[in-house]
Amino acid sequence: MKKILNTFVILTLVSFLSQAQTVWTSTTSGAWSSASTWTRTGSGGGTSATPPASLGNNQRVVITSGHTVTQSSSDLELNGSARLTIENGGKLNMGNNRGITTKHNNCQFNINNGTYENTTAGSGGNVLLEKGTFNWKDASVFISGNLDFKTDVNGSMDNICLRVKQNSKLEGLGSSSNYTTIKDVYWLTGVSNTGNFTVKSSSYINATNWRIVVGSNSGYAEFENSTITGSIFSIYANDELITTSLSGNPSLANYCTDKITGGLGAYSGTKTNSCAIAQAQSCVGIPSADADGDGIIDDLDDYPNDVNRAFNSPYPSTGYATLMFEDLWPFKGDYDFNDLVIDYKYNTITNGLNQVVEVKYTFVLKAIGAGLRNGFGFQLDNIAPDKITSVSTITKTNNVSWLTLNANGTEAGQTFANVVLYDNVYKSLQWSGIGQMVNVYLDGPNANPYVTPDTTEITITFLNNGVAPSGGVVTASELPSSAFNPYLICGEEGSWNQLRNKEIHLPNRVPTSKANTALFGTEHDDSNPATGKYYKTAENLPWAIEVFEAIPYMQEKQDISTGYNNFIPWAESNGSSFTSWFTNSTGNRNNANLYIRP
Amino acid sequence: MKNNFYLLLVLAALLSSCKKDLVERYENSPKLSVNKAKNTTELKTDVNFTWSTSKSLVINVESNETYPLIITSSNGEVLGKALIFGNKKNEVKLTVGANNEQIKVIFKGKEYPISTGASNINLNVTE
Repeated sequence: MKKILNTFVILTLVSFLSQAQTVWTSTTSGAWSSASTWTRTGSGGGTSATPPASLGNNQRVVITSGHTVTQSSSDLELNGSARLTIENGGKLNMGNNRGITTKHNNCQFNINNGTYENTTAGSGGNVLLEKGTFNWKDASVFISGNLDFKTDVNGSMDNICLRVKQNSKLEGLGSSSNYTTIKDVYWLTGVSNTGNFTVKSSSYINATNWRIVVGSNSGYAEFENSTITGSIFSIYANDELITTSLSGNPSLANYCTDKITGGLGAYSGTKTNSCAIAQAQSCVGIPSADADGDGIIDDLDDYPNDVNRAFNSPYPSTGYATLMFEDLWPFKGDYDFNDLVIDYKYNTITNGLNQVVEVKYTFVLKAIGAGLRNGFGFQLDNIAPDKITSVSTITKTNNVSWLTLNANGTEAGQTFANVVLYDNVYKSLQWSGIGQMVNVYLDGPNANPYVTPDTTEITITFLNNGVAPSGGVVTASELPSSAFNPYLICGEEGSWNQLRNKEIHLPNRVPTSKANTALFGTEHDDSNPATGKYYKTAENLPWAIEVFEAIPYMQEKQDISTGYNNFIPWAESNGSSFTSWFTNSTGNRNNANLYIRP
Repeated sequence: MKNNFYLLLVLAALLSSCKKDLVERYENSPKLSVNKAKNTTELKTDVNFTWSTSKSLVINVESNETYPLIITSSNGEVLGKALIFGNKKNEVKLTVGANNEQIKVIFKGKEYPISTGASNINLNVTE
């Protein structure tokens, strides 16, 4: 009988407690103010179908089960014993720069496997934790304004990706008897904005693997009158790291600023030069936003709002590369390598599956040290033409009769994809009628007015809105930089025409299907397809050179070795020494023979 | 016996003198130039020399997690990015300057310095 009575009392108590509060639990995604978003249990906090924006005593809100609740009409407040919980994949999406404030010691703002996010433009949307408790675990938090923890607030963070557009202030967080724990937290402040990171006013923090990054170049990280124990993995602040009256002796793995005020004190970290890298690769290993849902988190996604694009891979990594040709093949030339000079670069864009989406090329035709009317094109080795959706319109081939295109813009009759950029370079870099050739003489009777280089941009599209052409997809590893195979199309001697079957490639690069292979092994050429030797003499001299960065080319009739002092030593070492022969390092260049305009 | 000893002493002194003379003559002789060609036309290079100022690398990445990988130069310029698939064969190809001796791979916050001395590189980023 006593047992039954006890059970009755417990059940009654549970029933009373559940009635003493009102809980709004999300049932679907929707607006905070929409009744269809919620189911309500209990009545102790009122019987409204929707939770108020200003939650008070006995009012609890739970956003759960992958639902996204949007609140953009007003800020949220937590008063009294109010509790806001985001859990189980739920997301609270604050629009219009709305924010949230906790205002009472008994209120709680908890996130457990959930997301709080306000990514709207502007500078509002502050999250201000004035009082109460927060417990954030396995969470992604994006705040469009400031994040401020005041005195009397305590709580914990565990496995958090926390991004704040403006300032982060920890002002009296935790207490000497109850440290706030921060564990496995990536904390980026000043996202695309100005912002500083501040810990002050007797904050007490126990940190483990805490990575602090100040995103703006002018931002600082300041630790003042506070106690931090444990370890800070890294502090990346471009402008300044300030330490004043800091105790607790936290160990520090890395920092990146040169400007340290207050000294490192007990910090035992090492300086790295990786501020930029740290800013680029945020939220590693912890939940993070993926706005376009392509599987690549936004911080690592070069196209965070485009599901069809994810990564840029530039070639070369910065600036341009330079291509330089001799055009008398199969006869040797004068080795000034200026018969055709073209700088180029390209960016290979891939999606979240490492499939090539498109390649954007830029070519800069700089000089013609030739009498022949040469053309220029390139092949993508081992890429069948039907693997390309389209080539953007090329206007510099002048409807020449020897060039026929497939429907996708590649050259017809080729085994691999070919793009002809110029039928006759003289039509794009026009001779002024004075002197000889274009941009190869600086002075003397053959000099002529400088002609502005011709820039051409083209895009080769592989996947169009995620859809592959009939030949299927091309992966990044199927289209490495080494697949780019540029070549000169020889002009015909005695006419202004071109010989489409006469190509000059970089050494050991294969010809296209159009090339007349009967010319191999004739005159000075020693090409031998059986051994993979192409476009080299018996002494293994080339007709074309590519340099990995943009360099000045030679003046007319000047052997390249008279402009680049270490070219011959480099070649005689078979490339093992003087690998930087083309750079502007002391002793490398003889500017007197290079085409460098005063 | 004593005569033989003096004879050996004289021979040793002569040999030492000859050796010193040879060393001095070598050191004072004009050095042969390492660069034999005076211009490009006179150059002769190895058949395997490609005249390339860049080099192609293949990085075979082994991981137990699927996550994006970033490749940078030693001073932080991004050279390429790729998604690495956990427990699968991942082959990342890139081209760097021939004068570039080291690159960095960044995966899940960890940096892996890689020498570019070899063209085929195996990298295990399994945690």
